[in-house]
Amino acid sequence: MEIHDLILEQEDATLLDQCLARFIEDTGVRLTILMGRSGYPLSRQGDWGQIDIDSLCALSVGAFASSEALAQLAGEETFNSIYHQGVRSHVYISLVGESHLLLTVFDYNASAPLVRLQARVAAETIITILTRAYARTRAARLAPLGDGTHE
Amino acid sequence: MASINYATKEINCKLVYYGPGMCGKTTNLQVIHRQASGDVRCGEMVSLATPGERTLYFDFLPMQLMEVRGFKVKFGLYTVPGQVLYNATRKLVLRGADGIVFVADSQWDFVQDNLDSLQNLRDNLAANDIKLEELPYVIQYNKRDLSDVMPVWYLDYLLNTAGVPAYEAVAPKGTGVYETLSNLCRYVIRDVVNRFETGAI
Repeated sequence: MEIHDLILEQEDATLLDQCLARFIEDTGVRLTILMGRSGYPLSRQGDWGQIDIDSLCALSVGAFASSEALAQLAGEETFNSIYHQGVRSHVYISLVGESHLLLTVFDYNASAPLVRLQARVAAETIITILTRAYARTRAARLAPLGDGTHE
Repeated sequence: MASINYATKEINCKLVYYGPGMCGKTTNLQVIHRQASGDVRCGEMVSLATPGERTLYFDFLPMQLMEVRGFKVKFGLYTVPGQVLYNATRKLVLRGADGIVFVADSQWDFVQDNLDSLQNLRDNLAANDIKLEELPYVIQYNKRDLSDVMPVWYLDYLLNTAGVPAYEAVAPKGTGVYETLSNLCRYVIRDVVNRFETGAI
Protein backbone atom coordinates (compact mmCIF):
# COMPACT_ATOMS: atom_id res chain seq x y z
CA MET A 1 0.00 0.00 0.00
CA GLU A 2 1.45 3.34 -1.03
CA ILE A 3 0.54 6.63 0.60
CA HIS A 4 0.59 9.61 -1.71
CA ASP A 5 0.47 13.37 -1.32
CA LEU A 6 -2.99 14.86 -1.52
CA ILE A 7 -4.31 18.32 -2.26
CA LEU A 8 -7.86 18.85 -1.12
CA GLU A 9 -9.66 21.74 -2.80
CA GLN A 10 -12.50 23.64 -1.15
CA GLU A 11 -14.98 21.83 -3.41
CA ASP A 12 -13.62 18.41 -2.38
CA ALA A 13 -13.80 19.35 1.28
CA THR A 14 -17.40 20.49 0.93
CA LEU A 15 -18.42 17.27 -0.82
CA LEU A 16 -16.70 15.17 1.85
CA ASP A 17 -18.38 17.15 4.63
CA GLN A 18 -21.76 16.66 2.95
CA CYS A 19 -21.14 12.94 2.57
CA LEU A 20 -20.26 12.53 6.24
CA ALA A 21 -23.22 14.68 7.31
CA ARG A 22 -25.52 12.41 5.29
CA PHE A 23 -23.91 9.36 6.91
CA ILE A 24 -24.68 10.76 10.36
CA GLU A 25 -28.24 11.61 9.33
CA ASP A 26 -28.82 8.10 7.97
CA THR A 27 -27.36 6.24 10.95
CA GLY A 28 -27.64 8.43 14.06
CA VAL A 29 -23.95 8.03 14.93
CA ARG A 30 -22.39 10.59 17.23
CA LEU A 31 -19.22 11.38 15.34
CA THR A 32 -17.49 10.38 12.14
CA ILE A 33 -14.03 11.27 10.83
CA LEU A 34 -12.41 10.58 7.48
CA MET A 35 -8.63 10.30 7.84
CA GLY A 36 -5.54 9.43 5.84
CA ARG A 37 -3.44 6.39 6.75
CA SER A 38 -0.76 8.80 7.96
CA GLY A 39 -3.16 9.82 10.72
CA TYR A 40 -4.34 13.26 9.63
CA PRO A 41 -8.07 14.08 9.54
CA LEU A 42 -9.54 15.15 6.19
CA SER A 43 -13.14 15.71 7.20
CA ARG A 44 -15.21 15.32 10.33
CA GLN A 45 -18.83 15.70 11.28
CA GLY A 46 -20.86 15.25 14.46
CA ASP A 47 -20.36 15.97 18.13
CA TRP A 48 -16.76 15.52 19.26
CA GLY A 49 -17.10 17.50 22.49
CA GLN A 50 -13.85 17.17 24.42
CA ILE A 51 -12.43 14.36 22.28
CA ASP A 52 -8.87 15.02 21.11
CA ILE A 53 -9.28 14.49 17.36
CA ASP A 54 -5.53 14.28 16.59
CA SER A 55 -5.01 11.53 19.16
CA LEU A 56 -8.17 9.74 18.05
CA CYS A 57 -6.90 9.67 14.46
CA ALA A 58 -3.36 8.55 15.38
CA LEU A 59 -4.66 5.74 17.55
CA SER A 60 -7.25 4.66 14.97
CA VAL A 61 -4.63 4.46 12.26
CA GLY A 62 -2.38 2.49 14.61
CA ALA A 63 -5.16 0.10 15.59
CA PHE A 64 -6.14 -0.47 11.99
CA ALA A 65 -2.55 -0.99 10.85
CA SER A 66 -2.14 -3.50 13.64
CA SER A 67 -5.28 -5.38 12.61
CA GLU A 68 -4.05 -5.39 9.02
CA ALA A 69 -0.77 -6.98 10.06
CA LEU A 70 -2.76 -9.54 12.06
CA ALA A 71 -4.84 -10.27 8.97
CA GLN A 72 -1.72 -10.95 6.95
CA LEU A 73 -0.43 -13.34 9.60
CA ALA A 74 -3.78 -15.11 9.36
CA GLY A 75 -3.49 -15.38 5.59
CA GLU A 76 -5.80 -12.49 4.71
CA GLU A 77 -4.66 -9.42 2.81
CA THR A 78 -6.48 -7.10 5.18
CA PHE A 79 -9.53 -6.84 7.40
CA ASN A 80 -11.86 -4.27 5.89
CA SER A 81 -13.06 -3.01 9.24
CA ILE A 82 -12.61 -3.26 12.99
CA TYR A 83 -15.23 -2.85 15.66
CA HIS A 84 -14.65 -1.99 19.32
CA GLN A 85 -17.68 -2.59 21.49
CA GLY A 86 -17.97 -0.67 24.74
CA VAL A 87 -20.67 -0.42 27.39
CA ARG A 88 -22.08 2.89 26.18
CA SER A 89 -19.97 3.87 23.18
CA HIS A 90 -18.70 1.83 20.29
CA VAL A 91 -16.10 2.53 17.64
CA TYR A 92 -16.23 1.26 14.08
CA ILE A 93 -13.31 1.84 11.70
CA SER A 94 -13.57 0.86 8.07
CA LEU A 95 -11.20 1.01 5.15
CA VAL A 96 -12.00 3.53 2.41
CA GLY A 97 -10.12 2.63 -0.75
CA GLU A 98 -6.52 1.73 0.07
CA SER A 99 -5.28 4.73 1.95
CA HIS A 100 -8.09 6.22 4.04
CA LEU A 101 -10.15 5.21 7.04
CA LEU A 102 -13.62 6.16 8.17
CA LEU A 103 -13.94 6.26 11.94
CA THR A 104 -17.36 6.24 13.56
CA VAL A 105 -18.21 6.66 17.24
CA PHE A 106 -21.76 5.76 18.20
CA ASP A 107 -23.98 4.78 21.13
CA TYR A 108 -27.45 3.27 21.66
CA ASN A 109 -28.97 5.73 19.16
CA ALA A 110 -27.43 3.82 16.26
CA SER A 111 -27.34 0.14 15.33
CA ALA A 112 -24.07 -1.54 14.40
CA PRO A 113 -25.40 -3.36 11.28
CA LEU A 114 -26.81 -0.10 9.91
CA VAL A 115 -23.54 1.69 10.63
CA ARG A 116 -21.62 -1.02 8.76
CA LEU A 117 -24.00 -0.87 5.79
CA GLN A 118 -24.07 2.91 5.52
CA ALA A 119 -20.30 3.14 6.00
CA ARG A 120 -19.92 1.05 2.85
CA VAL A 121 -22.31 3.36 0.99
CA ALA A 122 -20.47 6.46 2.20
CA ALA A 123 -17.11 4.89 1.26
CA GLU A 124 -18.17 4.64 -2.38
CA THR A 125 -18.96 8.36 -2.52
CA ILE A 126 -15.74 9.24 -0.68
CA ILE A 127 -13.65 7.13 -3.06
CA THR A 128 -15.13 8.97 -6.03
CA ILE A 129 -14.28 12.36 -4.49
CA LEU A 130 -10.76 11.34 -3.44
CA THR A 131 -9.93 9.61 -6.72
CA ARG A 132 -10.61 12.90 -8.47
CA ALA A 133 -8.53 14.83 -5.92
CA TYR A 134 -5.57 12.43 -6.22
CA ALA A 135 -5.70 12.56 -10.02
CA ARG A 136 -5.70 16.35 -9.91
CA THR A 137 -2.85 16.34 -7.38
CA ARG A 138 -0.72 14.09 -9.60
CA ALA A 139 -1.51 15.82 -12.84
CA ALA A 140 -1.36 19.47 -11.96
CA ARG A 141 1.79 21.47 -12.34
CA LEU A 142 1.06 23.68 -9.44
CA ALA A 143 1.51 27.33 -8.83
CA PRO A 144 3.03 28.36 -5.48
CA LEU A 145 0.92 27.55 -2.47
CA GLY A 146 -1.63 30.10 -1.43
CA ASP A 147 -1.71 32.30 -4.50
CA GLY A 148 -5.11 30.92 -5.51
CA THR A 149 -4.01 29.85 -8.98
CA HIS A 150 -3.26 26.23 -8.21
CA GLU A 151 -6.03 24.78 -10.37
CA MET B 1 2.71 11.57 2.78
CA ALA B 2 1.72 15.19 3.14
CA SER B 3 -1.77 16.50 2.67
CA ILE B 4 -2.63 20.07 1.78
CA ASN B 5 -6.15 21.14 2.56
CA TYR B 6 -7.21 24.35 0.84
CA ALA B 7 -10.52 24.38 2.71
CA THR B 8 -8.99 24.45 6.19
CA LYS B 9 -5.72 26.03 4.99
CA GLU B 10 -3.68 23.27 6.61
CA ILE B 11 -0.62 21.29 5.64
CA ASN B 12 -0.29 17.97 7.50
CA CYS B 13 3.00 16.09 7.74
CA LYS B 14 4.25 13.07 9.63
CA LEU B 15 7.66 12.93 11.33
CA VAL B 16 9.10 9.73 12.76
CA TYR B 17 11.78 9.39 15.45
CA TYR B 18 13.71 6.19 14.79
CA GLY B 19 16.61 4.56 16.62
CA PRO B 20 17.74 1.73 18.88
CA GLY B 21 16.02 0.89 22.16
CA MET B 22 16.55 3.35 25.03
CA CYS B 23 18.29 5.92 22.82
CA GLY B 24 15.93 8.72 23.90
CA LYS B 25 13.23 8.93 21.22
CA THR B 26 10.39 9.19 23.72
CA THR B 27 12.37 11.66 25.82
CA ASN B 28 12.67 13.93 22.78
CA LEU B 29 8.88 14.04 22.44
CA GLN B 30 8.36 14.51 26.18
CA VAL B 31 10.70 17.50 26.17
CA ILE B 32 9.02 19.02 23.11
CA HIS B 33 5.64 18.55 24.76
CA ARG B 34 6.81 20.06 28.05
CA GLN B 35 8.64 23.03 26.62
CA ALA B 36 6.44 24.02 23.69
CA SER B 37 5.78 27.73 23.62
CA GLY B 38 5.42 30.70 21.33
CA ASP B 39 4.92 29.70 17.72
CA VAL B 40 5.00 26.01 18.58
CA ARG B 41 1.79 24.57 19.96
CA CYS B 42 1.45 20.94 21.03
CA GLY B 43 -1.62 18.85 21.70
CA GLU B 44 -1.79 15.94 24.12
CA MET B 45 0.95 13.35 23.95
CA VAL B 46 -0.17 9.75 23.61
CA SER B 47 2.19 6.97 24.71
CA LEU B 48 1.47 3.31 24.20
CA ALA B 49 4.05 1.86 26.57
CA THR B 50 4.69 -1.33 28.50
CA PRO B 51 4.36 -1.27 32.31
CA GLY B 52 8.14 -0.69 32.36
CA GLU B 53 7.67 2.45 30.27
CA ARG B 54 9.29 0.98 27.17
CA THR B 55 7.48 2.04 24.01
CA LEU B 56 5.17 -0.78 22.97
CA TYR B 57 3.57 0.64 19.85
CA PHE B 58 4.33 4.32 19.41
CA ASP B 59 4.30 7.71 21.05
CA PHE B 60 2.36 10.43 19.30
CA LEU B 61 2.52 14.17 19.71
CA PRO B 62 0.54 16.57 17.50
CA MET B 63 2.27 19.89 16.96
CA GLN B 64 1.39 23.06 15.11
CA LEU B 65 3.93 25.55 13.84
CA MET B 66 3.69 29.07 12.56
CA GLU B 67 1.91 29.69 9.28
CA VAL B 68 3.65 29.22 5.94
CA ARG B 69 2.16 31.23 3.09
CA GLY B 70 -1.18 31.38 4.88
CA PHE B 71 -1.28 27.67 5.69
CA LYS B 72 -1.17 26.26 9.21
CA VAL B 73 1.55 23.60 9.28
CA LYS B 74 0.66 20.63 11.48
CA PHE B 75 3.09 17.86 12.29
CA GLY B 76 2.30 14.49 13.77
CA LEU B 77 5.41 13.38 15.69
CA TYR B 78 5.76 9.62 16.18
CA THR B 79 8.35 7.42 17.80
CA VAL B 80 8.84 3.76 16.95
CA PRO B 81 9.51 1.09 19.57
CA GLY B 82 13.26 0.55 19.59
CA GLN B 83 13.31 -3.02 20.83
CA VAL B 84 14.39 -5.45 18.13
CA LEU B 85 11.35 -7.73 18.46
CA TYR B 86 8.90 -4.98 17.54
CA ASN B 87 9.90 -4.66 13.91
CA ALA B 88 6.39 -5.25 12.57
CA THR B 89 5.25 -2.23 14.56
CA ARG B 90 8.12 -0.08 13.33
CA LYS B 91 7.12 -0.81 9.73
CA LEU B 92 3.56 0.30 10.43
CA VAL B 93 4.58 3.53 12.14
CA LEU B 94 6.97 4.39 9.29
CA ARG B 95 4.20 4.34 6.70
CA GLY B 96 3.57 7.71 5.16
CA ALA B 97 6.46 9.46 6.94
CA ASP B 98 7.43 12.83 5.49
CA GLY B 99 10.63 13.16 7.53
CA ILE B 100 12.80 11.09 9.85
CA VAL B 101 15.05 11.74 12.84
CA PHE B 102 17.49 8.94 13.53
CA VAL B 103 18.34 9.16 17.23
CA ALA B 104 21.67 7.49 17.93
CA ASP B 105 23.00 6.50 21.33
CA SER B 106 26.47 8.06 21.59
CA GLN B 107 27.86 5.49 24.03
CA TRP B 108 30.62 3.15 22.85
CA ASP B 109 28.59 0.13 23.97
CA PHE B 110 25.87 0.98 21.46
CA VAL B 111 27.88 0.98 18.24
CA GLN B 112 26.28 -2.21 16.97
CA ASP B 113 22.78 -1.26 18.18
CA ASN B 114 23.01 2.01 16.22
CA LEU B 115 24.24 0.30 13.07
CA ASP B 116 21.58 -2.41 13.30
CA SER B 117 18.82 0.14 13.83
CA LEU B 118 19.95 2.29 10.91
CA GLN B 119 20.05 -0.75 8.65
CA ASN B 120 16.64 -1.76 9.94
CA LEU B 121 15.33 1.71 9.03
CA ARG B 122 16.71 1.34 5.50
CA ASP B 123 15.21 -2.15 5.18
CA ASN B 124 11.79 -1.09 6.41
CA LEU B 125 11.70 1.88 4.05
CA ALA B 126 12.86 -0.32 1.19
CA ALA B 127 9.89 -2.59 1.85
CA ASN B 128 7.78 0.41 0.75
CA ASP B 129 10.15 1.24 -2.15
CA ILE B 130 11.54 4.29 -0.38
CA LYS B 131 15.21 5.16 -0.01
CA LEU B 132 16.27 6.95 3.14
CA GLU B 133 18.17 9.53 1.08
CA GLU B 134 14.93 10.47 -0.70
CA LEU B 135 13.34 11.67 2.53
CA PRO B 136 14.13 14.74 4.62
CA TYR B 137 16.29 13.11 7.26
CA VAL B 138 18.51 14.24 10.13
CA ILE B 139 20.55 12.47 12.80
CA GLN B 140 20.69 13.24 16.49
CA TYR B 141 23.66 12.05 18.56
CA ASN B 142 22.06 11.78 21.97
CA LYS B 143 23.45 11.26 25.49
CA ARG B 144 26.42 13.55 24.88
CA ASP B 145 26.65 14.25 28.64
CA LEU B 146 27.69 10.68 29.49
CA SER B 147 31.34 9.87 30.06
CA ASP B 148 31.80 6.93 27.71
CA VAL B 149 30.72 8.45 24.41
CA MET B 150 32.13 8.23 20.92
CA PRO B 151 33.53 11.40 19.34
CA VAL B 152 31.24 13.03 16.82
CA TRP B 153 33.64 12.44 13.93
CA TYR B 154 33.47 8.70 14.62
CA LEU B 155 29.65 8.73 14.85
CA ASP B 156 29.62 10.59 11.54
CA TYR B 157 31.93 7.95 10.05
CA LEU B 158 29.69 5.13 11.31
CA LEU B 159 26.21 6.53 10.80
CA ASN B 160 26.31 9.56 8.57
CA THR B 161 27.92 8.48 5.34
CA ALA B 162 25.38 10.56 3.43
CA GLY B 163 26.47 13.71 5.26
CA VAL B 164 23.00 14.73 6.43
CA PRO B 165 22.67 17.34 9.19
CA ALA B 166 23.58 15.86 12.58
CA TYR B 167 23.00 17.39 15.99
CA GLU B 168 24.44 16.65 19.43
CA ALA B 169 21.87 16.32 22.17
CA VAL B 170 21.23 15.67 25.82
CA ALA B 171 17.52 14.99 25.50
CA PRO B 172 16.47 15.01 29.20
CA LYS B 173 17.95 18.50 29.54
CA GLY B 174 16.44 19.65 26.27
CA THR B 175 19.86 20.28 24.70
CA GLY B 176 19.69 19.79 20.94
CA VAL B 177 16.08 18.63 21.00
CA TYR B 178 14.53 21.72 19.43
CA GLU B 179 17.48 22.22 17.12
CA THR B 180 16.92 18.74 15.71
CA LEU B 181 13.18 19.19 15.41
CA SER B 182 13.15 22.68 13.99
CA ASN B 183 15.71 21.86 11.31
CA LEU B 184 13.88 18.71 10.26
CA CYS B 185 10.62 20.68 10.13
CA ARG B 186 12.31 23.23 7.88
CA TYR B 187 13.58 20.51 5.52
CA VAL B 188 10.17 18.83 5.41
CA ILE B 189 8.32 22.06 4.67
CA ARG B 190 10.84 22.92 1.96
CA ASP B 191 10.48 19.41 0.51
CA VAL B 192 6.68 19.60 0.46
CA VAL B 193 6.62 23.07 -1.06
CA ASN B 194 9.17 22.00 -3.69
CA ARG B 195 7.21 18.91 -4.59
CA PHE B 196 4.01 20.85 -5.01
CA GLU B 197 5.55 23.75 -6.84
CA THR B 198 7.46 21.66 -9.31
CA GLY B 199 4.63 19.24 -9.89
CA ALA B 200 6.92 16.40 -8.88
CA ILE B 201 4.12 14.44 -7.23
